[in-house]
Formats: sequence, structure tokens, C-alpha cells
Amino acid sequence: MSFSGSQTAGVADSVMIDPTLSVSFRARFVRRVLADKATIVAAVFLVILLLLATIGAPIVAALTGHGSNQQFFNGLTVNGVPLPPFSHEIANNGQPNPHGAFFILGTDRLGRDMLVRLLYGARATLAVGLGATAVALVIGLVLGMVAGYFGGVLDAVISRGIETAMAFPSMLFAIGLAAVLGAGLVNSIIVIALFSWYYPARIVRMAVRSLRGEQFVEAARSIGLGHITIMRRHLLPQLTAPLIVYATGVVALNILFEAGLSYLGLGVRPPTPDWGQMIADGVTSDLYRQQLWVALTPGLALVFTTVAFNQLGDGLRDAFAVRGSIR
Amino acid sequence: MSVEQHRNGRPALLDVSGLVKEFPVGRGLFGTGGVVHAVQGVSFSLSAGETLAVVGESGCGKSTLARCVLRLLVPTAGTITFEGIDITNAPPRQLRPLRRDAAMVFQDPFGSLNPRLRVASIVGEPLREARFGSKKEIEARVWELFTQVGLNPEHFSRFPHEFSGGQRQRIGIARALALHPKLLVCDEPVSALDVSAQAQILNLLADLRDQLDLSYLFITHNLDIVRRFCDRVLVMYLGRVMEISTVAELFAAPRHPYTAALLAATPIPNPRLTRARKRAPLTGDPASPLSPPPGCPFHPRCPRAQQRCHDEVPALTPDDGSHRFACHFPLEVATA
Repeated sequence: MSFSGSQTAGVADSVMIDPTLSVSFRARFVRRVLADKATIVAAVFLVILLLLATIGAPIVAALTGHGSNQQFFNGLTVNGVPLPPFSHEIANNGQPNPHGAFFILGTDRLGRDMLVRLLYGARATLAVGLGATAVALVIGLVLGMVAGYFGGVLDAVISRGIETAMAFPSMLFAIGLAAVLGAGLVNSIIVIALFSWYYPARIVRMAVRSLRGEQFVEAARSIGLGHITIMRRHLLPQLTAPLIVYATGVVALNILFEAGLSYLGLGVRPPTPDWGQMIADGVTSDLYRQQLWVALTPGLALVFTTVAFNQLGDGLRDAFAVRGSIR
Repeated sequence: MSVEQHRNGRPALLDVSGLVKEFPVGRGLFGTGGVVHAVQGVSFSLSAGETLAVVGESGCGKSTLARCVLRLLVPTAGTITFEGIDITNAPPRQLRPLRRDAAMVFQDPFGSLNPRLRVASIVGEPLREARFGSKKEIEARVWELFTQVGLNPEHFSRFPHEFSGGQRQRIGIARALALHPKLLVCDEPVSALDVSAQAQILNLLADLRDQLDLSYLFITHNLDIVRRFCDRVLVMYLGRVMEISTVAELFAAPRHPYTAALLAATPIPNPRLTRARKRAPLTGDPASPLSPPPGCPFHPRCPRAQQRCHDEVPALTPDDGSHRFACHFPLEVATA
């Protein structure tokens, strides 16, 4: 048996393809991220925020000696108005007392240190934002994979479930649900996760549907791999990139969602500090007309955090992209 | 190598009888859609060490047939016997011998390898799944397989995208060979490759056949490959067997008009001969497998068709050991 190319048969084709292609996924990813300044800034900001929330908050509390829920009797002016940033507490004569407590970001309506509350508030905000996103991702991943992989009746049932969940006005319903379940960290996570699992489920379902038809899945079946093994080993690794991108974007939304719930008094239970609650404090009491900082400081923190997560999501999406310009 | 020898000397490795595969389509909320009749009663058997080609136009059910044989699809009707065991409706547990002794080589050298796994891991996957041995033993076997298919084992830890199409097809073949199979089902294994890579892969498959005593179920639409590589041919049209024969006999004297038309459509690498050749090209396209024509599926395009072809599905002629065909008005054997 011989064919035209028989001399070279059995010898490995020595042709190497385009060398730029031989760069591993990881190397290309790192190179693209490093070239993207805005994403680096966002990532650094978020890392600092995370550090401040976890270890920074107790350190600052210890250094200033101010507890997060500690009310300073002299932390308000004689008229009972919060102190502006960079001010000392008030002495009995109504003047600032240079030997008294110092408030870098001023005080709030109840004479509490804004800085310490802001840092502790980041804990609740991030915990709920990240926690709810994680729960939503797990639910979405499992349901989306099952629907996309098995198709048929399972897919029909899950898809209709997704559509039903999407049809609910989420904030309105969340408010109702939060009211029923009651305020609190875990309840906030449950409520928010319940209204953000369907987007990842849809993304995963679509991705798995298209991967399902790939020949390497068929190859895995012809080897005798079970469905669970195929999903875990052959499908899951291909889903991480879109899911990470999606998750970073959704963390921002969920943080806002949480702030919204807290703003309405349905988030973390007071007096535990929380950004949404702090904004509400500054706005509902009409303080913002004169004492702008009470609402503005947590407001800005929320804006920066949200923008940073969105920027990170955008940057990661670009970096994960298979094609597209290499910046 | 005549079929007689094979058939008499060695038992059938694979026996397919009356295989039917239908796919329901467009079944919506309201009412039922149609049914695609992908495979309609195909029977054949494959002896150990034999290479059977399955040829036909796109959409004639070749790939569906291959997938049923490997039980990637569950047949609608008929039986498939592999190594004497009925696997037609066997649950996954009882498919283990099939998974070990039969493997598939895919058409697309790009799509058939998971882009996220290193090639050593891809080739080692069947070994791990079958609990072949320790990590060391698996690695040694993968090394051996790389050498066997002509890959540099030093490229062990690369990703699929770092290889050319021909090299990837070798990786796919190495994976198929991992558990010392007896049957390789090749679904157009070279049609996605350029001509020189095609020749290399075909030579590799031929060498492996001799070294490892493999049987091939070889799906292709390239008759040149059939002539050079295969022992027997099964010609399919719209899910039915039109003709099944030894390669020599089929090419020398096709009995079915469809086979004759296929042979006449093969290009001859000689312009003078091409011009001299009498051709009666087929007109039209195969009917949709959603609604195959009554009677002989080929009759709307057949130059010899008569009323009987419309009324009655021609049965395959009895098994005389070498040449069978399904036609009411077969071509005469030219007496040379």
C-alpha cells in the first residue's frame, strides 16, 4: 500500500504554525491585562478596598479608639448637627476641643465616626455583593449546564423557570421578600441571589449548547466518559472566562442592589454600618442640604466601587477575548 | 485479500442487522413535526482485520451509521452485535467492552481535541477512564502511542493549537489506539486535510492496520481512497444500502446505477481520458430524508427507473459472499 507522500509517512510533520499562536492562554492574558492601565487601577483600588474592609477597619478603629457604633456625646454641634470632616469634638463651651476626639471624615447624625463606619460598612457591602454573586453563579452554573447539556424536557423546564424568574420586577419583589424574611446579612444574600441567578444560567446554557455539539465532546463520549465527567472536565474549563467576566460586572449590580435594600431599611440590620444605610441616613434627615458629607462620603465610595468592578469586568473581557486587538 | 478468506477464516467482529435510526424534528408545543429517516434498515458485517468503506453523498446517513455502531446514538430499530454481544440497547455499564475495543477517529482535527487540555492529557484520557494503571504507566503508554503515530513525544505538554492539522489527526489516532482497540471507526478521517497530509495519514492508518491487526469502518466520499485502502465497500443512498461488495468487484463491475454514477463522477487525473469518457451525470439532489420517495429511494434520479421502482423497494440480493445490490434493473456485468 503506498501513496504519493509515502517517504514522509510516519515522520512527524515538522511544520510549526504561527509562533504567536504558541503563546499560552495565560501568558497572553497577563500581557493584555498589564497593557490596560484603567483595569490595573480598578484592580488595585478593589484590592485596597478589600484590605481596608477586612484588616483596615479594625486597625483604624484601634488607632482612633472609635468603635463603629460608638456614639460621641460631643460628636455633634450644640445644635445637634454632625461635625464636618477634619474636626475635633465639641467642648462644653461649644468650641472645638483640640484635646478631644478627632474625626477625619466627620460624624453622622448620631455623632458616630464616619471613617470607621465607612470602613466597617464596606464589609457588609462587599460581603453581600460578593456572596450573593457567588450563590447566583453556583445556581446558574448548575442549572445552565444541565439545561444546555441534556436539552429536551429538562431544558424546557429550566428555560421556562428562567423566563418566569426574569419576568418578576426584581427590586419590588426583593423588597417584599426581604420584608417577609426580615433584615440581615444572610437574608440579603438569599434575596439578591434569587434575583441574579438567571443571567449566568442563560449564559452557561447557551455556551454549553454550542460546546455540546463539538467533536471533542463526542470523542469523550466514545471513550466512555460519563456525563458528569464530561461536564466537569471538558465543559467547565471553557466556561470560566465568560463567567468571571460576567461575575465581575454583576458584583457591581449586586452591590447597588444591596445598597438599595439597605437604603430602604431591608438590608443589614442597624446599627451595623452599611453604605446604603449611611446614604439613607444622610438623605432622609435632610442633612444633605448643609451637612453634605454624611451622604456624599458613602455615596462616593459606592460609585467608585461600582465603577471599579465594571472596569475590571470590561478589562477581563478584553483580555480573555480569543481574537481582537492586542493592546 | 478476498472477503471469502476473511469470512471463512475469522469470525465477524461487528454485525449490524436491519439498523434504523430516525430523528424527530420540529416537535413543538403544538403537534408533532416530521421524522428524519437517517438510516433505514442497514445490514452488514465486518470481520476481524477487514476494512469496510461506507460511501455516499452528504446526508445519506454514513455518519449516523457510524455513531450508532459506537452507540453514541441509540438506534431506533435493528440490532448491533459487537464481538458476539448485542449492544443495541445496552446500558452504559455493559458498553465497557465496546468502549475499550472500538474507537473513533473524527473528521475535524481541530474540533475533536479539547483546546484547553494538553495533548498528553487528551491521549491519556481513555487510559485514565479505563484505569489502565499508575500515572507512570499511563505516561509510558502515551509516550509509546506518540511514537507509534509518528509524533515527537517531546511535544507531550503542548496544547492542540500548537500542532498542524495532520499532526492533530495523529493525536486523534493516538487517542483512539490507546486501549488496543480491534475496531477503528473513521469518520472521514482525511477529508479535512490537505493532500499531502491525507497521504501521510492514510499511510499511517495502513501501517497501523498491518501492525495491530485492526479492522476499520471507514466512512468517506473519496472513491480513490476506497480503491487504495479498503477491502469492501458499502454504498449508501438516503439511509439505505444500494450495493455492498468487494472493492475489486465494485470498481470493475458496479451493478447498481447509483454506484455507476458515483464512479463516473470521480475525476481522472488525465484530461484526455476525461474527455474521452462517456458521462451521464446525475441531475438533481437527493430527496430530503424527511420525506424519502416511495419505492427505491434513488428512482427519481435514476436513468433506468421504471414504474416498478416507484412502487416497490428493491431488496438486497441474497448474500453470495461477495456482491449484493438493491436494484430491480441492475446493470449487466460486462463480459470481457
